[in-house]
Amino acid sequence: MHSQTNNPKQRLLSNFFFDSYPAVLIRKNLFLKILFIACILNLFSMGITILMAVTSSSGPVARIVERVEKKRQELVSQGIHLYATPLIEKWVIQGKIAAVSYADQMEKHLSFDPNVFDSDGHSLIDRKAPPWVEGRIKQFMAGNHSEFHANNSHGLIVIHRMEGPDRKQYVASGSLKPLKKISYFSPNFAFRIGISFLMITLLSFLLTRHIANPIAKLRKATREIAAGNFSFRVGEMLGRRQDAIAQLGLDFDQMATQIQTLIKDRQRLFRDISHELRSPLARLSISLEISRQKASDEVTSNLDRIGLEAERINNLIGEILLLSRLETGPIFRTAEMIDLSGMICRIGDDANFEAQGRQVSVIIAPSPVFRIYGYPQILHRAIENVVRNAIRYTDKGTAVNIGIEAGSANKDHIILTIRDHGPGVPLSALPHLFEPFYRAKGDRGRKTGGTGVGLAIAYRAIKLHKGEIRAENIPNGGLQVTITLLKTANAA
Amino acid sequence: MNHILVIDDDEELCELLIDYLTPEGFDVEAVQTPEKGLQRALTKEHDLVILDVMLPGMSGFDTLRHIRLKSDIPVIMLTARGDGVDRIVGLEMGADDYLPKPFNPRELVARIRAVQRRFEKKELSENVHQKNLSLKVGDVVLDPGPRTVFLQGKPVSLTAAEFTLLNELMKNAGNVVSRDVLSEAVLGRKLGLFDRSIDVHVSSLRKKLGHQYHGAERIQSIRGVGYIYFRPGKGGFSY
Repeated sequence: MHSQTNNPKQRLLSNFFFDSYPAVLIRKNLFLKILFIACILNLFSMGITILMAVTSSSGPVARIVERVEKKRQELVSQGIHLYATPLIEKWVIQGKIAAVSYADQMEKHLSFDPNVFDSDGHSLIDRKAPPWVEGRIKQFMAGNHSEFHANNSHGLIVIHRMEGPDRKQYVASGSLKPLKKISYFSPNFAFRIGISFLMITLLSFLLTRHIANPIAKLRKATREIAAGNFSFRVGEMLGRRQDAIAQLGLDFDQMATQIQTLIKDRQRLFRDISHELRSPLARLSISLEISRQKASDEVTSNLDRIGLEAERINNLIGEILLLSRLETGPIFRTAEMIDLSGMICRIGDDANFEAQGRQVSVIIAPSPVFRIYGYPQILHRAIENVVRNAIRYTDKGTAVNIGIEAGSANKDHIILTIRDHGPGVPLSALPHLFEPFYRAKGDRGRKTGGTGVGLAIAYRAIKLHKGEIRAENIPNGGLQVTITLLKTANAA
Repeated sequence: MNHILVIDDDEELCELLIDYLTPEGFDVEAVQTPEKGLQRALTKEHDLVILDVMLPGMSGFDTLRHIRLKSDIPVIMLTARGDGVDRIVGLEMGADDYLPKPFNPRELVARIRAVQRRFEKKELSENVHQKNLSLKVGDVVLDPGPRTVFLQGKPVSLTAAEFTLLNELMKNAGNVVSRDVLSEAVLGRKLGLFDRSIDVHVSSLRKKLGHQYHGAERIQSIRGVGYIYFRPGKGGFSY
């Protein structure tokens, strides 16, 4: 996945993030992955927008607020003028009562708090201004600006210096409560975020399904082919789709057809080879028997010899073909439950029969019942080959010992040992023992009758059962072949 | 009982077979094409057919199928060695036995003679009126004399091997018969390791007679031992 680092801190970090349970879940599930990425993108883009709106002084919200404040100030300014001018006039010409009544009337239509002061700071309409306004007024009066406006936490204040009809100076002010904070978030922000999140999830789901579905179908097809069902095709399952994934499906089908053809051709080749090689042998065998019918006694042993060699050729053909089949797979058989200990007893008994001819015996150590899931005929062949090999090489008068037991290190293992008391195998030859036709230097094999393919078949057969086979010399003399098989071997 | 028809495209092999089998007392006719073979097989001039599986044109299996449509003549298949599938298929299609090539012709003769023996028994029993030797178990009536089988009154067509197998099982209905005994009686030989010939013939019988009878399995297999034919009544099976 990610490269191993020697830095322990980095490793800890990567362990924490990449190997934590949710992280593993996301890595393994295509749908979650896309959803995760989509949500991150969504949140990221939402976040950027919000950030921009909130922080920048030239952001959209800030600009809006600025404009609104300006407008407010303008309107209050205008309002003050329109209000104060007639009020001052009334006050000067008609007196306070008229001014106050005018003020009351006008203020119904005003949304700001107005006030007018004379040059001494007294309110013309006897209204007390709030302290912060008073402070500003005093400040203003002290200065000589014609106009002042300010905006702070108390609110907006606009002050104008005005001249009455009596040519005296007056000050008019208008104050407004501050703008209610404009929320960056609309009232149903949470609801909208929620909806958008759901939409994203739904779309991610549809998108993922659109991609993951055909991938799952392709996976199924691949597994079918791997299991030996070479006629499986994925084309129709992809429907009317036309994108790259559908193209992949078409390519897959093409490949499957090629594989199917190759397998068929190979099967036919094996049949033909078998047929072509065995037809002359069949004719030979009948001719031999005809010769026996007509022959005199003195040639009987010669005829027997011919028969024996023909038999050897036949066996060799069978072994070579079997080896080829095992090497190039797949196996067109079904796996079954095998009584391994029973099988070994049978092999041992048959071998004993053969062994007696060489004054050699086969001893099987007693064992409990071991069962294994596999291909009986192939497994039988493999073990038989090893046992026969042991019989051929063990010294006259000795025994071949076969034992079967559960693994000591791993209880799921079954360990099968076949040990002979022969000369053993030179160290240089040990690694090559299971190669086809390998002959240790100096071993011409003719005397011992080895065919050279038996152990190669055994090797392939055991590998097919996901087991292991190895050979080693015993210190006391002889060769021991150890076969390790899994109890719950789910054969290939 | 010694007229043999050989159907094999290997002309030289056919000649050799004729050379070998004739001194053994057989009258052998050999043909090379499946069409000719089918034609000759149906003329009822022969007692046994030896049929090669790998034939050009119509395959050996198809030929076998066509023969079986019209005739129960015993058929021994010559198969390719190491191809277990061929044998099962052939037996399922109605061959009585198989022999992989290359074969020892003495074995072939042994199997031919096994077939002969079955029919000799037939002739023997035909001469002596054997009405009381007919076997009746449940809904099946088997007559070893004329070699007929009736299921609920209706005749059933069986191959020679199937008939002999049923005979053995029914003779010992309710008791287990070992596969070795069945093999000797039906095929005239010992069963090899992983050899499913008897199993396939049993399977054919089950198909033709029906798997169940009165709620029990008609022919029950006893793992590692053999088969039992169900006898209704007191305890249908006993070992």
